[in-house]
This record gives sequence, C-alpha cells and structure tokens, in this order.
Amino acid sequence: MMQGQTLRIRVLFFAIAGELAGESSVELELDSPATAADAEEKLKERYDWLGKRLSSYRIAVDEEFARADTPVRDGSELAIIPPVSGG
Amino acid sequence: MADRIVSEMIDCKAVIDEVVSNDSGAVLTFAGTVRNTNLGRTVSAIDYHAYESMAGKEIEKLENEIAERWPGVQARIVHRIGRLELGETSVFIAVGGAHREESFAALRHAIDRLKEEAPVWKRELYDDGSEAWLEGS
Repeated sequence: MMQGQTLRIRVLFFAIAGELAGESSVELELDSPATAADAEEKLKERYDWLGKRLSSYRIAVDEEFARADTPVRDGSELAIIPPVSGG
Repeated sequence: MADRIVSEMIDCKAVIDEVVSNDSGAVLTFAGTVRNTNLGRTVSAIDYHAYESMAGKEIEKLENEIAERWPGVQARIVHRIGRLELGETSVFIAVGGAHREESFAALRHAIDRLKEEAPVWKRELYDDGSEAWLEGS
C-alpha cells in the first residue's frame, strides 16, 4: 500500500465492547501507512465509551496481540479485546 | 489433534489420552466448572464467548511454551463456549510429565496463563433474569 492511499480494515468488538458499540464489527478507513495506535485514535473519535476504557483493553491485529506501533494493512482484522474472563 | 475451542461437551478422556505416553509418570488434569455464585450474585448459567480463531492460536502457543519450559511435559487445553449450566466443565487441561513436580508446575502455569491471555469472555446469567458481561477474571 502506497503512501497517501486509504486502507480499509475490519474492526471486531468482543463481549462488553460489542454491547457498547451496538454491533460486533465495523469497517474502518485509515490513511496508509497506519498502525494500531492510528486505528485506536480513529475509533475513539467515533465511540465515546472507548476512550476511557482503552487503557484496560487490548488490541489484536490479525489474531495477534498488538502494540501501539504494530502496522495494520489493507484487509487487516483489528480486534477490541476487553479484559478477558475465560476459564 | 482435537479442537481447542469447542461448542459441545468436552471429551475429557480424549484430552487426557493426548498427553499420556510411555514417558509419562504424572498425568494431572484441571477442570474449570460453572459455579452458582460470583461477587455475591446468584448465577444460573454462563454463556461463554470467544474470539475463536485467536483463542485457538493463543492456547496452542501456551501449550508450546509449556513444552519448551518443562522439557518432556505435554499440555493440552480445551475451552468450551456457548451456554453452560451449573457444574458443567468450561475448560479442561491435561498435563503429562515424567514426574509430579514439573506436571504440577506446568498445570498451574497453564490455567493461570489461559485466564490472562485467551480471548474468552463470560456472560453471566443470574437467577433474577438479568445478564452481564464479566470484564476480567
């Protein structure tokens, strides 16, 4: 993906995040190149509830836990992971 | 090898069979079951949800991590999702090692790390008809 182009990713909301978002997934457009942090910023603009919760949430990109600088690519799947409670 | 995330009753015997070998002298299991109270509320059932594809990968990573940390020890972990009634098994772990010390340590590690890393969530259903997502543990 070239500089200045738009990339589209799929964002998945799990558990309480899905309830708060009112949907389990959305498509998000980002300017390329983009990182997980860029996606978070854009999502915080769209979802008020997300801003104060993100510090305790984790993000996964393409099924791997991500860091702020993890790159997202066109077609990536980004998951919003509230504190887990399996077991 | 059996699936790590399943939506029907866990076949515990099959999970145990996968870690038993002629080298194993200490085979341990852990079953997490649905309990009737949590944080002072009366729970009537739990609906488990997972990011299934990622949870399967995280569990596989954990099994591999255990095999590296305790050479000769094998761990198999299966988590069930969907609605579970009281007393039903939500997670089953089998660990096989040559001696009990490493098997106990690996089993403890397996359940502790699973609860921290696997993208799985409980939605508790209460006796008054209400429901809530649990955030953490």
